[in-house]
This record gives sequence, structure tokens and C-alpha cells, in this order.
Amino acid sequence: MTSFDELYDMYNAHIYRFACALAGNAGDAEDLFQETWLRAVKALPAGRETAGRDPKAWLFTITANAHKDSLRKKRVRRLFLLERTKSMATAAADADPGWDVSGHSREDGAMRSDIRICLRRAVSRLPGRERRVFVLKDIEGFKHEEIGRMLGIPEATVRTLLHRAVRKLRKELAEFRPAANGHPVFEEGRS
Amino acid sequence: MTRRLRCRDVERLMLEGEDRALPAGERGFVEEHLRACARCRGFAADRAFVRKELSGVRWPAPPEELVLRTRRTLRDAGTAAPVVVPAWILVALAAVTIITSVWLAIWLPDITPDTTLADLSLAARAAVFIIVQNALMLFCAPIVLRTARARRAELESAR
Repeated sequence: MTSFDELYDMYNAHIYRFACALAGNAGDAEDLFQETWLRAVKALPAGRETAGRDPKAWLFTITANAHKDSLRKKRVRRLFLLERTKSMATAAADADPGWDVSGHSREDGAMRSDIRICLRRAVSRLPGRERRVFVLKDIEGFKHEEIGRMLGIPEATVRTLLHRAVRKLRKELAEFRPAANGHPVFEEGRS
Repeated sequence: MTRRLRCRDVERLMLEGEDRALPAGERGFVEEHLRACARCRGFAADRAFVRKELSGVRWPAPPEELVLRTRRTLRDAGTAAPVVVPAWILVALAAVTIITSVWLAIWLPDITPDTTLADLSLAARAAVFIIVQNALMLFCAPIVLRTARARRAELESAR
């Protein structure tokens, strides 16, 4: 039995993190965060429980849909306000990363920051579908099957989108590429 | 499983291997391929590198002000009565629509490709005016609304 207030207290940090990872800047992340909860409160009549659904997956689905809609709206807006909106969005993303790239030891702090700034930029340059799949898998730790259910796409499509996203990120992060000497550790299962 | 795996297949299998344990056959093929292929070893190393970097990102907590503001908005949304359009507005809109339709139905047949504005009666000119006005409004309204919203957002962010 989970009231909406409890749901909000329990998951607002998760939703904000997901919104930050998807949006790439704090302003858009805040909009996405609010939009998610507004949609949730409308979808869930006051006082009712989430009726057997995994509330986290349900809320993440709402966030992913809200992200898809916001990208669509941005595309339409760009048609009308071309350069202006584009430059405003870029400036906002550069000024306010949303991802915390600081807070490391002095020796590797600058290097780590550079890597994470590039990583953030590379993720925010991914097309919407690939970005959602990548973030759900690599940041939120969902399984392919769960991601497929959440985004309403087949599991094979999830794998394809993830593969494309990983290949694009590889290209973007080529300058930080570690030396591929020796036999790599083949990871198994979710870490 | 005897077919020769391409690098692309191996990459996909490596990604699958992060999600579930691969069957022994596939796992063996991947490991064998990795021993022979520097390119795929590079992919595996890059993948591990990105995952390590992502696991080290410290995600910001939602700002307290945002959490409180959203909670207030949610409470208002939960208790707010649905917006009901008064009946008289609906009746007035229906009346305007019917009158406009009748007006256009009567006067539009007078307008042919050959007619000029001077040939038209005052009522037919009014019909043309209604059509042009609606077309312009449909085209311009979204632009005007979006420009106004963007300006407002710009002003708010500047404050």
C-alpha cells in the first residue's frame, strides 16, 4: 500500500537522476522531473495504489515518454525559431551540466572531469531512442527485457539500439581510449 | 555453433553477456574471437572503461526547492477541480460556427476563379475575408504563441 506522497518521497531522487542523465542539463532535467510527477499524479487517481505494477519502472516509463515528447516539441520549436532556440539550448547545456563531474582526488581530478564532461556530451548527442536505452541500461541498471517493456519495444530492438549507442560513444571518446593490451575481462551478469 | 562470428556479432554478444550469462558455446566463441581480434579487445576495453566512468559519476540530488515546489504543484493538481467550460460559451461557439457555415454556403457559390473583388457583393467579400482571416490565424497562431513562450522563458531565466 503506497500513497502518492510515499511514492514521491521514495522515488523523487531516482527520477531526478534519470532526468539529469536524459536531459543533459539541469534546466531540462527539472522540467522533465516536474512533468513526470504531474503525469503520474494524473494517471494515478488520488489515494489509489500502483495496483501491482513496479512503481519505479512505471515512473521511469513516464519519464521516458515525457522525454520523447519534449524532444518532439523541441524539434517543432526549432522549425519556427531556428537558430535562436538551438543556441539557447547549447548554452544552457554547457553552462549547467547536471552531471557532477567534480569531487575527485587532485591527481586525477582534472582528467576524470574531462572524461566525464566528454561522456556527458557524447550521451546528450545520442538520438533520443538510443539515449533512453543507454541510460536505462548503463546508468539505471535495467535488463534488456525490462527496458523493452518500459519503452514498448522488442528486446531485439533494445539490443540493437544499445549496440548503436555504444559504438557512437566509442567514436566520441576515442581520445580517452585505454590501451587494449592483454585479454580483457569479459563481464558477465549485471554488475 | 560452427559459423564464423563477425566482429559485430561478437560486440552484440558481449553486450548480451552484460545482461545474462551466455551459453557455454557462445561464451567460448567470444573468448576465442577476442584472443585473435585486437579490434574486439578494444571494444571490450572501451566498454569496461565507459561503465567504470559511469559508475563513478556522482549524480546530484534534486534541489530542495524543486522537490517542495513540485510537491505543492502535485497537491494543487490533486485537489483542483477539472476545468469546466461554461455552457453559454459552448452555445455561443456553436451559434457562431453555424452562422458562419450558412453564410459561406450562401455566398461561396458566387465566387469563381474569374471573379475579382470588385465583382463581389459586400456579403461575398465578407465570406472571402472570413476564409483569409481563418487561414492566416491557423498559420500564424502557433508561431506567435511559441515566440511569446520562448520570450517569457528567456525573461524568467534571466531573472
